[in-house]
Amino acid sequence: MDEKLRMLLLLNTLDGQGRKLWAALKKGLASPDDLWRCDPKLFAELELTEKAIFALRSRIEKRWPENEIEKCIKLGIRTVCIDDEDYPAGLKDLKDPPLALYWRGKEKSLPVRCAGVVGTRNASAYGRRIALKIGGHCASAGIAVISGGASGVDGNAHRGACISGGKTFAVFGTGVDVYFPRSNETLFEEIMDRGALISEFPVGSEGEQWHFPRRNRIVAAVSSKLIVVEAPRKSGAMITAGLAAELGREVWSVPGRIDEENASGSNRLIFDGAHPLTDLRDFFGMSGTGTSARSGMTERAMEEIPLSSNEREILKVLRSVGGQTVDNIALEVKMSAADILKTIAILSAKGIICSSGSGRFSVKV
Amino acid sequence: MNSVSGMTLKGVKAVAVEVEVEITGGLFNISVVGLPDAAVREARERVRAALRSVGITLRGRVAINLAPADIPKEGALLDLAIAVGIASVQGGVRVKKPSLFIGELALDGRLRKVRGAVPAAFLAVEKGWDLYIPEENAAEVSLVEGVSAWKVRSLGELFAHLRNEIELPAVEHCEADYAPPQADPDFADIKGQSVAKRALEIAAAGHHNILLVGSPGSGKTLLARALKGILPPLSDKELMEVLLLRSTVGDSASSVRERPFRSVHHTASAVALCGGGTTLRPGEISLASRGVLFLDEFPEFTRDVLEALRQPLEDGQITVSRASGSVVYPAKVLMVAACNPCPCGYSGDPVERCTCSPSALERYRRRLSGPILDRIDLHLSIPRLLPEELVSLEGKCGESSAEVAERVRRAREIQTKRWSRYGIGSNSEIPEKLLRRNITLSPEVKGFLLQALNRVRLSGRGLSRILKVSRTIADLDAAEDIRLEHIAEALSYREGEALSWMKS
Repeated sequence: MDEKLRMLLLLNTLDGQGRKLWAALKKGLASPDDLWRCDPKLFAELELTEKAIFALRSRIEKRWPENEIEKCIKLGIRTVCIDDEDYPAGLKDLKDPPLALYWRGKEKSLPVRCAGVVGTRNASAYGRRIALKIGGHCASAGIAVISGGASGVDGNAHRGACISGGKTFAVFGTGVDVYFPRSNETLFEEIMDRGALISEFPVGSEGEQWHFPRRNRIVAAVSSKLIVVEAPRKSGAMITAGLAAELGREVWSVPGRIDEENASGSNRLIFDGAHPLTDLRDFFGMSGTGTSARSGMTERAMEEIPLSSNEREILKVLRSVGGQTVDNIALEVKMSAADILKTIAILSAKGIICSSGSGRFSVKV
Repeated sequence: MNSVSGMTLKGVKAVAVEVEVEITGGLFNISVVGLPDAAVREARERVRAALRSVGITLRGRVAINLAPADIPKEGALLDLAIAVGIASVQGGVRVKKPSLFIGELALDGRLRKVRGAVPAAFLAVEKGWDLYIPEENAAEVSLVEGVSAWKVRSLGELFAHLRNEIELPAVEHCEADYAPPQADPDFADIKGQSVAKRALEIAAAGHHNILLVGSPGSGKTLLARALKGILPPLSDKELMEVLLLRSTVGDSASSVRERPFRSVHHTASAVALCGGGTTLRPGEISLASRGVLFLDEFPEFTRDVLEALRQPLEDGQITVSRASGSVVYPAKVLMVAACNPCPCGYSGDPVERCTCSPSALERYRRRLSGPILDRIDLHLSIPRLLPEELVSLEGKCGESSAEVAERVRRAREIQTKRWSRYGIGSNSEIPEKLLRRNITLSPEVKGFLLQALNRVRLSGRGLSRILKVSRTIADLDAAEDIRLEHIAEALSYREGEALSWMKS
C-alpha cells in the first residue's frame, strides 16, 4: 500500500502536529521509517505534544492507516492528498491546510470557479428562497456551489444548484459517509451525482462541535466568492465570512431587515465592507460570466406575461409591501375576498407570487 | 311463545332478548342466566325492590333465563323486561301482544332513562311489536317512524296499563324540525381570515378533510368551531343514523338536525377514537359520523392512533372486532386537524421569533407528514394577525354563516343530483374511475393543469385530490365545467403549495 497516503492520512488526524511532522518528512529531516518506529528522538526534536505522540503510537499499533484505506475502498471514497493534482488550489492559501481530503462523488476535482453560499440553519422562508435562487443562478452561470450541507440556507443552495443541473460540493464536518442532518440524505445523494461530498475527517467521524469551524475554513478557502444569505451575529456563517475576507476572497452579503436577529450578522458584514447583494445580476456581472443572469421576475419580464386587471392590481400591492395576508390585500384593493383569493391562486399557480409565511404572500424574487 | 322481550345492544343494532321466568318452591333466591354482565346481574336487587313497591313480594326460587343464551347481555335496560317477566308469572299481569320492554328500574319502581332506545324502536318496528320505554327516552323515539310505543313513568303505571286499568300515554311520531343550525361562533364574528373561511366553505360543501396550520392565537379552534354553523342540516336518512349512534351511547343532542361536532384531545387512545372496549362502544370517529371530528394539536396524537384513523377515513365505516364479536360502525366524518407550524409555534410568524432548534423542527415536521395527511384534501396556513392588522380590520365583518351555509347547501344539492345514482353523497367520495369519466376539462384548462403538475411534481393521488376539490369549487360556483380559476384555487390548497414556506 502507498506509504505516502498512509502517512498523510495518519498525520491528517493530528492537525497542526501532523503538519509539523509532514514538513520535517518532506525536508528530509526524518525518514518514514522513523515515523513508523515512533522514534522518540524525532518527536523530541519536533517538540510534539504528549497527546499527539500517544495518538500516533496507538494508531500505528492498531494499523489504523491500513484499515482506513481499506474502508475507503469498500465505500468508494477517494482520498486526495495535499500534493495531488486534484487537491483544491484554494486550500493552499490556508496556514493550516488539511493534509488529506476524503472525497465522495462523481466530480474528481473542484472547478476553477466556485462560489460558497452560507447562512443559518434556522433560516426564514425568505432566506431559504434566496439561497435556492442563488444556487440555481450559480449553476446556470457555470459556477459550482460550495456549502456545508446543513439544513436551511446550505441545503437550499445545494438544492438550487441540483435543480438547475449545475455542479455542487458539500463540505462535511463529519465523515463523508455520515449524513448529517439525516433529512438531507436524498439531497446528499444528488450532490454525489452532481459534484462531491468532501471532508477532512476520517471515515465514520461523528459531528463533534469543533469540527464545524474547521469545516468552515475549507468552505471559505475553496470558494473564490462567498455569499452570506442570512446569518445572526454569532454563527458559523460569520466565521466563514471572516475567514474568506482574511484569505482575500470576495464576500457578498444578502441584506435583510435590520430588526431581524437572523439578518444581524449578514447586515453587519455589509457595514464592514462586504458587497451587498441587492440584485443577482450585479453578482454575476461582476463575476464576469458574460451571461446575463435572469433575476427571477423582473418588472419588465413580468409585464410580458399577460395578466388580467385584477392580477395587476394585486401584484402592485404585493410588490410595494410583501408578506401580506388576503385580508390585508382586501383593504387595499376594491375586490371581494373571494376574488382576491382566486386571483392569488392563479398568480401563484403561474409562479409569480409565493407564500412567504403562514398565510402570507409575497412576489417571487 | 313468551311475549315478554327485552333487548341488548350489539354495536348499533338491538338484539331481542326473550325473558323467561320460572318460580318454584324452596328458599328465596334469584338467579339470572344467559351471559349477563354485572349490571344485568345486579338487576336482581333493583327488580325485587321495585316489585315490592307495587305490592309483589317474591318468594321461592326465581330462575330468570335470558335467551338466546350465547349472546352477552349488557346494561341496566333489561330491568323492566325482567320485572314484567316475573310479574306475568307471579303478579297477575298478562302481556297479550308480544312487546319489547326497556328501562332501568329505581328501587321505588320509577323508570330511569336508558341508552339504546332508538335501536330498540327500530327492532320493535321491524318485528311489529309494542314498545314500552321510560318517559325520558320518548323524545328520541318519537322521531322513529311507524313505532307504536308507550311512555312509562313507573312500574305501577305499567302494570295498571297491562291490566287494562289505565291507558298509558302513547309516543306520538313527530318530524324533526328543520331549524337553521345555530352558528356559534358566526363567520361574521371572526375578523379577517377570509382564506380560512373560504377553505372551510369548500370543506363543508364537498365533505373534504382539512388541515389548519397556524401559530398559537391565530384562531384555528375558533374557525373549526365555526365550521359547524355552515354545514347543512342532517337529512332524514342521516338523522336516523346519527340518532341511532347517539342513542347507543345515551347522548341526546339539543337540536336534532344539528350535525355532530366531536373535539378529541390528543391523549385519546385508539379505542376511544375508533370504538371497542369489552362491551363494544362506538368511538369518537363514529359519534362524529355525518359531522365534524376535530383533532387539535394533530402531531401530538400517538402514531398508532393516527394510523388507526386511516382505514375508517378511507372507507367511511369502521369494523371493530373483539372476542365478544365484531360490529360495523359508520365513520363518515369530516376531519378537521389543527396544529402549530413548529413546536414553539412561531415559525413563519412576522414578529415572534421561532426558537426551535433545526433538529426539533425536523422531528416535528416528520410527524406532520405521512399517510394520514394523504387523506386530507385541503391544507391551509392560518396567519396570526398582528395587532395593527386586527385594528385595521375593525368594523369589517364578512358574510354571516347563514349566507355561506346557503351556498354550501346549494352545492350539496348539485352533488347529490349528480352522484346519487352511484350511491355517493359528496365530491370527496368520488371513486377514481368515476372521477376520470365524469370530469372533463377544456384543452386550455388541461394545459394549465399540466404546467402546474410539472412545476410541483404531483403524484396520481395528488392529482385526483385536486380534481375533486376543483369539482367542489365549481359546484359552489354552480358551474357546469371546471374552469381554470377552480383548478388554480384547488392547487393553492395543496399541501406543497399552502405549506411551502415551511419546507426546510
